[in-house]
Amino acid sequence: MNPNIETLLAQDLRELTAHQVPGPDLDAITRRGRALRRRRMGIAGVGGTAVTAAAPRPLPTERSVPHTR
Amino acid sequence: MRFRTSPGANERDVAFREFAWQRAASLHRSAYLLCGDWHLAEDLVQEALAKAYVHWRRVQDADNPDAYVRRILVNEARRRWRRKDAPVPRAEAATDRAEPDWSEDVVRRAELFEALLRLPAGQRATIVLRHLDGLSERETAAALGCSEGTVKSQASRAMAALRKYIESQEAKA
Repeated sequence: MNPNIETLLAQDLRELTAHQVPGPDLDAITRRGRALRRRRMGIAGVGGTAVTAAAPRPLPTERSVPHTR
Repeated sequence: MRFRTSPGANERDVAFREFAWQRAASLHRSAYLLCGDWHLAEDLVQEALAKAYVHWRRVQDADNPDAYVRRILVNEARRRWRRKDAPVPRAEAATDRAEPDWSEDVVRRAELFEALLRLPAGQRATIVLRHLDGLSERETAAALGCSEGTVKSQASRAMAALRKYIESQEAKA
């Protein structure tokens, strides 16, 4: 690629975005992050419960079978 | 200005907030070129940083935490483009200034912006990461989750498309 075109492109992109960007709302971001994390943990929790419920029960071992005598 | 910490914030939160404070403006500019709207860009950055918060340990352990977060940003932008109700990106840059300046440079930039928003998502992201964020081909590949060869071919196709579009606009004028 022509380096002059690359330089011009980079310059133009910088000009296009030369806009006063507001500072990030850190409280909103961390709140959103915590909500996302809670949602994910909730989904993982529900998924885990479902997997546990659907999992086949282990076969009874000799020791677990109650003596009938 | 320094970032604020909320009362009762733990060490993890403090580290995250410092990272977010330092990167947000640059991410916001990249997001703007990815979606074509400052407000959507702000929301994109918030979502990307919120996801970084969820995976903060992974972000911190990454070879290049900045590239990791840019990858989240690009993926989030792509996810929104795929949605059927996603707004079509429109150029607002040329009309966004208080005093219109129709010099040759401004017109060229407005055309470039139009052309950029017409590029497929991958090509647009490649141009933004390489030429606005100044990432190397290797870093761009890491941020996009593809090979360096793909970055090269995407960049080459994007440049050809941009040139073609700008030339066609000039021919019309």
